[in-house]
Amino acid sequence: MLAPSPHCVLALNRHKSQNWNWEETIHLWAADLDLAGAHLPRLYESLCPQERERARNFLQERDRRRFIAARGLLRAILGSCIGVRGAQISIEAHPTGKPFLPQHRSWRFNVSHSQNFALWAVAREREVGVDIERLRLNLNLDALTNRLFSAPEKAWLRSKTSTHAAFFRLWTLKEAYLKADGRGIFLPLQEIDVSSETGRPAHRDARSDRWRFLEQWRLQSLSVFPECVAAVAAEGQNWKLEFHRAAFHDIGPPIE
Amino acid sequence: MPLEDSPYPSPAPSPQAVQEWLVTNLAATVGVAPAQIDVRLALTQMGIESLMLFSLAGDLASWLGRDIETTLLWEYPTVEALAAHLGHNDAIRLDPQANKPQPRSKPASLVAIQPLGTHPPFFVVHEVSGTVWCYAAMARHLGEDQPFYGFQVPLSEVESESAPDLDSLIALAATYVAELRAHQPRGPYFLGGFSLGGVIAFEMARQLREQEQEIALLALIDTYFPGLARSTPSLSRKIRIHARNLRGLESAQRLHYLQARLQKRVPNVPQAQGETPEARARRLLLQSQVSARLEAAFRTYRAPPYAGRITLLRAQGQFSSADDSRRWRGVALGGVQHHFVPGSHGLVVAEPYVRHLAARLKQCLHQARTASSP
Repeated sequence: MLAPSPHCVLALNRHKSQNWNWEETIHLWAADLDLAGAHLPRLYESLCPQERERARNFLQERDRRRFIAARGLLRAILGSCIGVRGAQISIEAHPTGKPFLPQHRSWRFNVSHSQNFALWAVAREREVGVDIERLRLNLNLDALTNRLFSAPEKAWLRSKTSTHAAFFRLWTLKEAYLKADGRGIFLPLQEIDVSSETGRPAHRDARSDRWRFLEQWRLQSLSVFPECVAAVAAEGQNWKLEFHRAAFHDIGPPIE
Repeated sequence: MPLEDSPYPSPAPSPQAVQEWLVTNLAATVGVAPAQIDVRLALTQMGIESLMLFSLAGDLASWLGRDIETTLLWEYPTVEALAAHLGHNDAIRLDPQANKPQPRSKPASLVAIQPLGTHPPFFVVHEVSGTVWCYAAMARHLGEDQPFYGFQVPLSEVESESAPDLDSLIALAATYVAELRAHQPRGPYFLGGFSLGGVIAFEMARQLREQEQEIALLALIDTYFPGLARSTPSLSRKIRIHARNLRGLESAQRLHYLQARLQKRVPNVPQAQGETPEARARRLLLQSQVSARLEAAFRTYRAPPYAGRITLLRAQGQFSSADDSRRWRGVALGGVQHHFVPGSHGLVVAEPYVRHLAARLKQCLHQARTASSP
């Protein structure tokens, strides 16, 4: 039994992670960021100067803490998977905002959090996107539907009796896909359809005005926390998911 | 021509009104007092998630009475930038009280962004929108000891006889060089530009060197190398097609067409008080033509070798790539000084990242001053 090293986050899992299957599996971690508590100083220490600057510039303390926890845990998770210290990982972002690892390009990842609930996905040689949303009641779903969804998606929503749950299910699938692609909301939202039960996204061809399925992507809805809806999108057809809970006791003893 | 049949947009509110609306609504969404909302802080730093941002865009569109492009809140990520973009944009004019020698001819393009200070002035060039709004945040951080001037494309001049040539970056740069030398007859010159502005500044520096003037600093802020093939779709091509379509329409139809298509692509449209819808439509058309022509000019420009040194400031969230840096290195016979600054292409000039860019620029300006002093 490996004793947890205070410098090595998720040390207990590392022993297992060396045997993990990375070819056909996407690994997912979920956590309640508000439970980070006494671990925040250590998590903050692992952030790079730009992340620390961002952390300092939050309007509210609650969001600062969640950011530190989300990024700190991202580094811990990636470090555990790759076999390096989280603080040593260099994270950059593409022009449209998607983060990547310039020194570990075969490792792909994505993060999402909605208030305190967070989801991280890590894969090898496979682009991945995740989205998690806390179910909110105070949104104008009609206006959002008009803005965010294409004609077939709107038709799919209309066919559902529980529009609230259906909206979030459809949106998380779409956002996970937009994030996996990397271009995010810079993609033409009206030309994309993620409502198919086959889990494949479709794009409308501008010239022929026909919808075409993209076989190289697969989307899947997830249930991770009771108050949330989530989804993952990834390249390839044959992957499966493995869940891990990012429990804070894995990080080692809290700093006094 | 009667306009009763066309749906015309309601008059756009001032940037202050848009800012107030944003502050009020953000404060309510986030659960703080309006006074706590920092208009220069990126919205994502306020704990607002994407669905909430989309909701905000929808409410804002309703209030403005027109559609808002979804990506707008990402392209203009602070309250201040968004308000400036959506409200009317008043061009900053050269301060007549500033204690500087008056230029011989009336400068249509050169404006003082911040005229105070004892250091030699730093001159920047507009980006593809033709405006210098992108430098406002930077000016604050450069401080009151650094005079800061900008070259912009004044819409009122675009269709006049003395209009600057927007179709050739060489001709445009020549116009700016003439105004620059009217304002400051001799070097050393401290020049810079963000995005497209960097390319124009480069051409200006090149021409100034041909005129035997010293360039103390040439700073390119996340600037693409002109002529490199890219996969992004051509905005200018789309706008050219629209402009051609518009010429065939009568004015009532034009407004309808513009409202439906062009507004989302038109940044910083100046608006006079009591402007008629027709005049506004005309201005939208002009602004879009400026952007399209500048982008087309950028695509046809080829950067010749440059005898001096180039300072490259690249966004870490990388819009310009390693390819661009390599190409700039290829033309700069005096070498390249390379700096990375945090943020992505759009955010590098916005809060909170702009303070790093400004700090770097201050260092570069200081170094350049020390190197060129007798």
